[in-house]
Amino acid sequence: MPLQKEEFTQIYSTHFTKVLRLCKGYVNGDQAIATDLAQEVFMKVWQHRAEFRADASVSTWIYKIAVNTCLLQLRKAAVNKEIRTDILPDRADESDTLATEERFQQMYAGIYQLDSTARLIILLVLDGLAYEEIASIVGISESLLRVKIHRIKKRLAKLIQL
Amino acid sequence: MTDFERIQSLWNQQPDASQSETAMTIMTRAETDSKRLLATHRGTMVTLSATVLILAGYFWTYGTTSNRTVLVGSLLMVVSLLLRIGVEYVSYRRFARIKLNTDLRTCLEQISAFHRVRQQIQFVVTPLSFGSYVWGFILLLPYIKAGVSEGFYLYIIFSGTLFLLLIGVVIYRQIRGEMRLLAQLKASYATLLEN
Repeated sequence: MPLQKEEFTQIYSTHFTKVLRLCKGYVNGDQAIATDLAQEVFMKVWQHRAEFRADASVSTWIYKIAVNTCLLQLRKAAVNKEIRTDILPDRADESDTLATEERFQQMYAGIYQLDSTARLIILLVLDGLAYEEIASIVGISESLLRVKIHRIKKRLAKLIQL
Repeated sequence: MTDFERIQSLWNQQPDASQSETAMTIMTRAETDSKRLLATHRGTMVTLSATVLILAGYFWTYGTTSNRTVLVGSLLMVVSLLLRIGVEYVSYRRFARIKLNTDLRTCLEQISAFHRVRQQIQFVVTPLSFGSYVWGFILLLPYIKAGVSEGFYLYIIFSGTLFLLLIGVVIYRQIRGEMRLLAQLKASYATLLEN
C-alpha cells in the first residue's frame, strides 16, 4: 500500500529536522546545500512511494534514501566545485551564541574530514539510530558495523577537539 | 564524559530547523519534477526520431545524385552527433534507474557500475564519434571552399577549429571528472567492506 498524502505530511514533519541535520553534517554545515538535499530526499520519498512496503520501517526507508542522496552528492562535487572547507574559525568569539556556532562549525569540519561512507555512518549514529537499523541502511553486518563505529568515533574525537 | 559523548552532546544542541517548504509543496515539486522528466524523455525521443526521418528522407531523395564525398562527409558528421546524443540519452536513462531506496552498499555498487560503463563510453564511443565528426568536416572542406567566399571559408575554418578544441576540452574535463569519481567510489566501497 503506497504512502498517502496525509501519511507523507506526517512523515515529513517528523523526519525533516533529522534528515536536514544528516545532510548538513554531510556537506560541512552548508545550510543552503543541506536544505536542497533534504528537500530532494523528501521529493524522492514521494516519487518512490509506490515501492514502500507497509511491513518495512518508514524511518529506515527514509534514511536509506537520505544516505544514498547524500552519496550522489559526490558526483556533483567531482564534476563541479568542492564544498567549502575553509569555514572553520580560528578561535571562539566572546559572544556565547557565536562561540556555540563556531563549535558547530568545528564539529562539521571534523566530520567532513572523514571519508564519505564513514561520514554517513557516524551521522546516523549521531542522529540516534540503533546499530541494527544502521546496519540495515548501510548494508553490512552489525558486527562489522560495530568495529567501524568504534574506529570512526576514535578518529572523530582526534579530529574534533572541543 | 568521553570525547565522543561531547561531540554527541554538541550535535544534540543544534537548533531545530524550520521547514522552509510545506509537505504539500514538496509533493507538488516531486510531481512536477516527474512530469518534467517524462516530458524531456518524450521530447528527446521525438527529436531523435524526427532528425533520423528527415535525414533519411534527405539522403533518400538527394543522396544518390549528389557528390559521394559530400554524402559521406555529411553522413559522418550527422551520425557522430546522433551517436553522441543517443549514448548520452541511454546513459541518462540508466542513471535514472539507480534505486535510491536500497542500502548504501548496493547503491554504491549500482553507481560504480554506471560509472564503469560511462568510462568505457568515454574511452571508446567518444573518440569514435569525435573522430568521425572531424573526418566528415575535413572531407567537406574542399566543397565548402568551392561554394563560399574566401573570407567566409576562413571564418568556417577558424570557428570550426575553435569549436572542436572547445569540445575537446569539455570531453577531457568530463573524462577527468568521471575517473576521479570512479576512484572515489572504489575507495568508498573498499572502505565500507574492509574489516
